[in-house]
Amino acid sequence: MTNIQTTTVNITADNAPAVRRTTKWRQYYNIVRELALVDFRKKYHDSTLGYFWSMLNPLLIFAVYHFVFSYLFVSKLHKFTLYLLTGVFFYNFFMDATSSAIGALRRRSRLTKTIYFPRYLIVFSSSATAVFSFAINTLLICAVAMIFDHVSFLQIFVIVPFILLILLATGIGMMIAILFIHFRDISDIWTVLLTLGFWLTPVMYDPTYVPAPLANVALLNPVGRILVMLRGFLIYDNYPPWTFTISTILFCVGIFFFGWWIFVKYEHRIPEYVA
Amino acid sequence: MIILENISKVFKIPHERTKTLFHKIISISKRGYTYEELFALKNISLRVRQGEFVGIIGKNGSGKSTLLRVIAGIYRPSSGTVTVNEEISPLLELGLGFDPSFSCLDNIYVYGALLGYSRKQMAKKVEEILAFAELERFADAKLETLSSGMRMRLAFAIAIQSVAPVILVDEVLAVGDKVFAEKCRSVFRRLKAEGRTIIFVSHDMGAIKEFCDRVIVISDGRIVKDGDPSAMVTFYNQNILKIANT
Repeated sequence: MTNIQTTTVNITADNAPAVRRTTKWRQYYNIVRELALVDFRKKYHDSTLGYFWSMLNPLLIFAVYHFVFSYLFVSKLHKFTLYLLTGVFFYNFFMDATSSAIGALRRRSRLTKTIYFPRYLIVFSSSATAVFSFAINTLLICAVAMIFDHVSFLQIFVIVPFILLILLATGIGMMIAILFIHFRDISDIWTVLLTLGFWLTPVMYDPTYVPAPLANVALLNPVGRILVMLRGFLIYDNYPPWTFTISTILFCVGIFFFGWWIFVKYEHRIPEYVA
Repeated sequence: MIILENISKVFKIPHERTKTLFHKIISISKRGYTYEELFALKNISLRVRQGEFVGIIGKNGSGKSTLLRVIAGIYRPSSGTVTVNEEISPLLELGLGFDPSFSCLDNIYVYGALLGYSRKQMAKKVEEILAFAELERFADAKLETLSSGMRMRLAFAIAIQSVAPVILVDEVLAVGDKVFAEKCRSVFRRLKAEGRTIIFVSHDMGAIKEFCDRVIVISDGRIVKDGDPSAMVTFYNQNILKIANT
């Protein structure tokens, strides 16, 4: 029988220092923010251009793809540059957020040995670090679409696929991070799966132009569905059928809460097995 | 009030050197997954009253740190119940789980959030922490560039910012020079005067005798004796070689 009851009460000793601290959820928010900020700072600390890299990096990617697909492989896809950019940036975030969850857990494992805090905050913070660049990239594509293409009311809804992808990536990040406790090679396996996933996701191709089996996979895949939604809102000025939207939302939210639930169920093993 | 009832903690130490999915599949098909069981704590029951200063002494590997981690809620016991009805400070130990590739300031802010302070509140404390740790000049230095003594001072300075009524201390007087050790002692005196509950693991018998109201001797995961500090220290010193083999 294992039963731990820990309830927090105010300090009862009369002469203990009276410091009013923050509430629980406020504290969790602070932890995520501080962990995410130090990671973000560290990521760009040693480079000469510093934070400017976070802006420059997507621009350079854009330049490379634009060159390749305007001069080397000319695509027949309508508005291909925007199509490609949305795919690349969204899939990049998915890769970044899910794979950084394992690294974050490994680096913070020493911290988990000295103080109790909900361990999922580690994964939340690694996602938050990835969201910094993701948000910049998304704003950038929106700007490109609005300046070079068109402006429409539907573009406001880009926020929906943006949030869905964050939920999906964080949920999957929690799942693979918890698997890492017992299976150390999960990071290698995940790298391979991500490469496979790249081709099973309509990043560079249009699912309606590829053979049926691949097209089916591409449209079942949640990242693919998010991309279909995003491109509808941002580029093609249309929206997917409601059933498609609702099922995608339910799936992403479901994955997030399932990942959270499974992580909380096993997180007590982290200080023991990872550190 | 901290109540431990029949706490046991078993660590499974696998015979395989690595724990990979690949190894697991191989080992299931060949000879199964085997491991060694290490009983770090065996049926420990313990009550600590509010405001008590309890020392824990014992050899290396006798289960002292595991016991602190179980009380702190970091390790889940294999069996038994832990009841702690007060907030607990971080386990004050060497290094405090700092990330060595971050600067002192970064580590201070991360820990501040873990202790429940907002960034604003921490900003006011930073100077005090750095002054106590005698590291004002190295605020932006990465921790990995500092000496172990400096890191310990920083850890101590941060951990005592905790206002938690229960404080767990794991062998902190070992590093640090005489001047700093004296600073630590004055902090312990203050914490004691504030009526905080302190559980203190140490090999420093002088400090144990000076501060503790009660001392527990642990050997091989069991409580061997529990009682008056000077009697326990004498018992421990006389039996240190003998109790190792029981």
